[in-house]
Amino acid sequence: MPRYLSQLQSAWWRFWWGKVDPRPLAAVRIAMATAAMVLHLTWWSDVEALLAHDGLSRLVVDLPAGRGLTIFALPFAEAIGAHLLHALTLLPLLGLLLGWKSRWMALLSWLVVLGWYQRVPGASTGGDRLLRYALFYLSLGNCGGAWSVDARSKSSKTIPVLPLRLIQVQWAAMYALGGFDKAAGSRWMDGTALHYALSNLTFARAPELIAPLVSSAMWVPVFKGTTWVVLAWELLFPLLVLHRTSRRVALIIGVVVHLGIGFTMSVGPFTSVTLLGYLAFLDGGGWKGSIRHPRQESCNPPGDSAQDTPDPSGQPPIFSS
Amino acid sequence: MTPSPPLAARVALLTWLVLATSLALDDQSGFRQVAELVAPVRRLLGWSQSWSMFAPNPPSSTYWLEAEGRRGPHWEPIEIAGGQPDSESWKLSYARASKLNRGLSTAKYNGDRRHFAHWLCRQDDTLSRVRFLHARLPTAPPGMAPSTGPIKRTPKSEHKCPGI
Repeated sequence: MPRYLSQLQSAWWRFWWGKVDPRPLAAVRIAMATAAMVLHLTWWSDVEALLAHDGLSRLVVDLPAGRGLTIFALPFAEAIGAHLLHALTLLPLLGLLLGWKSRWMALLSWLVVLGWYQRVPGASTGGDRLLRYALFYLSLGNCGGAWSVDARSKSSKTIPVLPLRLIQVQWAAMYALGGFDKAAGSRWMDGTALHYALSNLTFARAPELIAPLVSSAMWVPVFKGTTWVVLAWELLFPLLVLHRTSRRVALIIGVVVHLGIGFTMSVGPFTSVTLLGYLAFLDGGGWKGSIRHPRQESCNPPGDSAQDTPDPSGQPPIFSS
Repeated sequence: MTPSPPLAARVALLTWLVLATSLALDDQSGFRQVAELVAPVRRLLGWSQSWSMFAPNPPSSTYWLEAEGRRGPHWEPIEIAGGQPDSESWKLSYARASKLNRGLSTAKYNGDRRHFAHWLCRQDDTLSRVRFLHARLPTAPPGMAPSTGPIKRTPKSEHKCPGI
């Protein structure tokens, strides 16, 4: 095999399986478990109407038969039975939060969250979907390598980066794909998209506060400019996260955009889950600790990888500079 | 040192990347066949890669589903979650039923409204029929006072309660 191909192959596998500090993945595990537990609790008011076996028929999906991967397909998942089952499914999420048999708990947590979707797909949101992806990716790696019950018996100095990388790629893909779809829309191009999104009463969190802004001619240029910034940021996000400095810019814009959405629009768990996923973009050395890892790589994509620019301290470059 | 993941892990990763790419591009003509192939996986596991919130354009109106039930000779409104949004109250929590019902007001889910109608019939055995309407309040253009009406209502479907 030619040398450049061999190097390319090596870089490819290092991108997916390089060794990194276990703490960023542990942070994502704790964050996603917390998000899943909060969502679990918010489902409680809808258990009998939406989740229980005798609740609404399984809607908005065209699978020909069955209720899929959900415990609510069980015939005794009615009334108090549905509540008990819902309570039972809190346990894997708690196990994941504590990092007890972390990978298995991540897998079970994914099945729990998938169960809500399977039972009532029409009530599932983009934030639920992101959470499902994150939990699935967590189950593919050693997400209990730090800050966990697992780590008390067997701590890991480094772990394969795979789950973090999958979460990073998923988040970047989400922005890019959303950006391409938006770029095809006339309102994103003419700068009025934000006006129409904020004016929609279905989503408006505080319509009385927003109405004076969206109806004022003075704010039109502000909304126009913001629309274009959001569109450009979404389209460029995958490129921006490749470099340390631009990554920080992309993440800061992301925090501002998502907090803006969260404060002005009621869009379900999308804001919180997306922001929690940003933890996957923080580098391993960000967690000030005493461990030193001799061949630890950056948690972020190559270009500033410790593999490319070995750092004497053993910390990833972003935090060792 | 180059990491050397097991062969099965490498194959699994590559399979996942191909699957995810197919899901992401399933609306492109060149990917239609692959998309049809992976559609059952997408539906079963909720593995859609469509992230088109407010895309290609945000809706130009606020819309919702309305339901009416027939008791004897009269049609009466049925209160369902996700009805007309209140322009004065604050939404501090997220209403999942609202998303579900909003989805049911669109043409894509015409077939599913029958199930919803039957569920409403089960909640009130005095109903003989249920019908749905798609209601929409247009959004005022930028710089204009918020629109307050008129609300346009379009009949969507009518369903007979089971056992009647």
